Amino acid sequence: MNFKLKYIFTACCLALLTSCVDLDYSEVTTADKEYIYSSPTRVSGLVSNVYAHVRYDLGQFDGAMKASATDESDFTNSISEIHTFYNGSWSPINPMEETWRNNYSGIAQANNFLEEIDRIYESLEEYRYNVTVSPYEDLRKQFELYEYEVRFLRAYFYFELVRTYGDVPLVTKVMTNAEANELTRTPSSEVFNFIVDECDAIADKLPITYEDEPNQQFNRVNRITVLSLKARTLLYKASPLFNPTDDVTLWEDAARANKMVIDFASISGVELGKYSDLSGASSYANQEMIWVRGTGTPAEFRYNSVEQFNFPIGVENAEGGNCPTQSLVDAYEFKSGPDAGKTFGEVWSANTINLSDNPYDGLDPRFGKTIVKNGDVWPTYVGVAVETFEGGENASPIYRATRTGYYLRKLSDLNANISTNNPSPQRHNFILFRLGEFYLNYAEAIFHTTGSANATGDFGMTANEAINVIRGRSDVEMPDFNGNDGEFLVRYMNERMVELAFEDHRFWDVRRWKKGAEFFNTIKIVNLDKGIDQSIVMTRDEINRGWDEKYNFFPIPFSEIQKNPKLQQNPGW
Amino acid sequence: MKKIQSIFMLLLLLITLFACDDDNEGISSVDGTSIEKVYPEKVVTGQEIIITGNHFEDVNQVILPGNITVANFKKVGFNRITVVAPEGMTDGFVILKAGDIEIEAPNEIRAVVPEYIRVFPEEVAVDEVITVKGENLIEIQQVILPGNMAINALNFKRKSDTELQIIVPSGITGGMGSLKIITLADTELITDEIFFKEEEIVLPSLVDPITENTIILLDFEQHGDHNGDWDNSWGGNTEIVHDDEAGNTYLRMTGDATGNWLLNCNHQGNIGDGATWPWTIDNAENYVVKFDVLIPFDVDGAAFKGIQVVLGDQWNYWGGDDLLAETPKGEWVTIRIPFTQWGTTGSLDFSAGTNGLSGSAPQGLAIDNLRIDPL
Repeated sequence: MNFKLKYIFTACCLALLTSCVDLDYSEVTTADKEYIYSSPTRVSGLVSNVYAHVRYDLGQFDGAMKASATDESDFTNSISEIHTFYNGSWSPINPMEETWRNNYSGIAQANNFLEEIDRIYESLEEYRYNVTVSPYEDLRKQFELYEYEVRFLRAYFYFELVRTYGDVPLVTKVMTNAEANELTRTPSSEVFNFIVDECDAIADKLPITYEDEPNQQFNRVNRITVLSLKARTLLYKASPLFNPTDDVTLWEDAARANKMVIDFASISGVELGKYSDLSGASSYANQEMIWVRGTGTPAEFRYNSVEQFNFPIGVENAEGGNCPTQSLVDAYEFKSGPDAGKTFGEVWSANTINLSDNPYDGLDPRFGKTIVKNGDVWPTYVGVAVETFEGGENASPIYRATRTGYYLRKLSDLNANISTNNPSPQRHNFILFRLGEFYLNYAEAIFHTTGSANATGDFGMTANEAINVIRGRSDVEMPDFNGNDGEFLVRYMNERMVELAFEDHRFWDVRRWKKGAEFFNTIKIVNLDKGIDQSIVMTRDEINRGWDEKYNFFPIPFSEIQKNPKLQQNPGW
Repeated sequence: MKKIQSIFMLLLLLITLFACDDDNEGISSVDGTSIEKVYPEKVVTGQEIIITGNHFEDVNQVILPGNITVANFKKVGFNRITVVAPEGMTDGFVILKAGDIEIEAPNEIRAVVPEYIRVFPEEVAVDEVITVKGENLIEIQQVILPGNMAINALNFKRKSDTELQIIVPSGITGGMGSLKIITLADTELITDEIFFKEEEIVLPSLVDPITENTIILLDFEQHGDHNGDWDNSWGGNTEIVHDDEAGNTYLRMTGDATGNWLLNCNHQGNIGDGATWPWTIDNAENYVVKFDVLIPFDVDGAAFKGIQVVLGDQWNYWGGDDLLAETPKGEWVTIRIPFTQWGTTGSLDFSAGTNGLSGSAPQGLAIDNLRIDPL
């Protein structure tokens, strides 16, 4: 190495050593505070900036959802980043660090806002006696809620972090760089407690609904949203990944909190709707929704298109995308007939299945609202039946055709058209919290609390009853769930997989259950072939992905640990 | 060599420029305990005070304004201490003690108490909003309405530092009354009295609604050329009553009937205008026969039990002893008889014979709206 290179190398090393940890603590202070706090619009903008850190997964990895890193689906683009989660390239230097970066950035903005909370009313003073421009009282009422909305968001970001990394630095103040580089990881139980305490402290200070609130804005946090975060947090805290001793009191806390969401729903105007209404542009108006995240401005829809990502290859401009697996299909139960209550996997367990035997007839209606199979007309504006058999119009050997035998229907809007000449991009809504989840959460928690699927504990509802509410929707109406105690958890996991498919739950559920080796090691697919007699036969197959227990938590990014050696890496990474 | 040194200096300058900014002067030390901020600025007794700063590992005491030493506090995460404000706290600065070292907070907090100012409106009914104006109300946990009806903060419509909004729940005691506002310190604020309107108890209707799916066999109303009076009894002791106030026409027993026809309905189905009577229905097991009856106060309802429904001459259903209990308030009630209850399934043809009600009924009893509804 010559002198010149040595100097440059030394300088680069110095640069690395003197930079701060990537927790984004300083960046938020760069804007001029006097400027910000002189305008109500800019103060509101600060809050909007914090909201903007709430992430959605409608294809966050160039069209791939995290569902495609689970046994729910397989992503057709072979060079997608999503494959990092199981192809061996996931590591501290390739850490998939979006969750770390984004949520700590949001937390930093929240901390900054809360430290200046006393100043947010300064900007209103000029309106105090000016009733013609903007009613002072209305603005004040709006501003009164900001503190609690931001505290909620900070708690939500910590939830995202703790389920991703386990122990994480719990910071509730604006950090200097020196402080940031001294951080240690806070035990996950303490982070969970912080989230729950924050929810308890702020829930009653946010409105039940925004109907009567001045200056309403779409998707702001209300009371049941706070209760929902608390309920989900306690479910995770009680789950095997975070509760290795199986402390039953944690399950009881989770049952209580989730039942509270169920009970509070009617007060909040939240109720179960149709399963089909969970998808599409207007799904935000579905009364089951507790909190949704829209995909942005209309101009962005074209570039953030669930339909473009997921319509079958062969459809103009479609990319094939996240293809449901046979593992998922096997989880659906039959609604009627002699096999009612049995799963597809149980009834059609043979290695080959002839489609002329109509294997899907009588299946749970949610199947058809989630998955596109060979022969379905999809998308409807094309008006042509999908062909997923080898050589078919939407199948191998076309590049990016499905490998699983299926395409995704759920989340797409029926009126969306992605053709070049007649495009009609639609808004999309990512479900952050919906009522159905909390019936399932409750069922899981009360089962672990009582050890029985037919016991109510102190809460007046059994696990089976909770699940049957979900299955009794007007467009589902599946037979009652009577899973006995010995088999309950297996059937519950199936039911949860079906109900919450492609809503970014499976990726986390399997981890908190510590069931990765069972569910994610291989995924099931089917290969379809058309015979000379025109009959189509499905042959079961598998794709090996592999699983390592260290995958339960993400690695702390190497760049963070390099800057702050006090951040201990997660086990195995 | 000089050129290389220049490059090195330039790189160092770049490093300096891009190094992280540290604009928190005076609190950047990571070596010692320090307080960044204490909030909220206004604190009521029982409220959680949050202290943020650095290096709280060795903190063993929190001294609150009023020289109140608290050892029972909670350390949360990297840089947060929470402590519950005790009674007697005053305005001032929080101090942390870590061994022999004392660290004073940079900002003052104020001890405040919740205050009531006014309540409105002066008169309120169930499901309406009561607004309580005041100061320092954000931590109010409960409001108790007259009749000892407690409403927890989670069920308030809205809560802020200056205002509480409560929706009057069902079951409220009528009359003048105050609200008790329960503070975190478990003290009470009593509001001025307001008037609570007596709740109107609206019982669910005992009469099933007539829907677009209802097949009306006989309602005694005028439909086109059809005259409701035609549908009087063949057995006598009945009359058609036109209740102009209620806008209803029905049949009333003017004397006791014993084993006679009370009404027949072979006419209405022939009239196109307004009649909804198809002559047949398929899958009778999916339908229920209904009619409405009114038993006045002074009539023993139990006497109305020998009723027989006749449709298409299939008169094999007799009302039993439990067909209708007394209706003490003299209200209309709906009698419901599923076809499955009388063993009739499949297609039912009304045109094949006589249709109506027959049996025994006491004087004063009224009947209306013989009909068929999907189950």
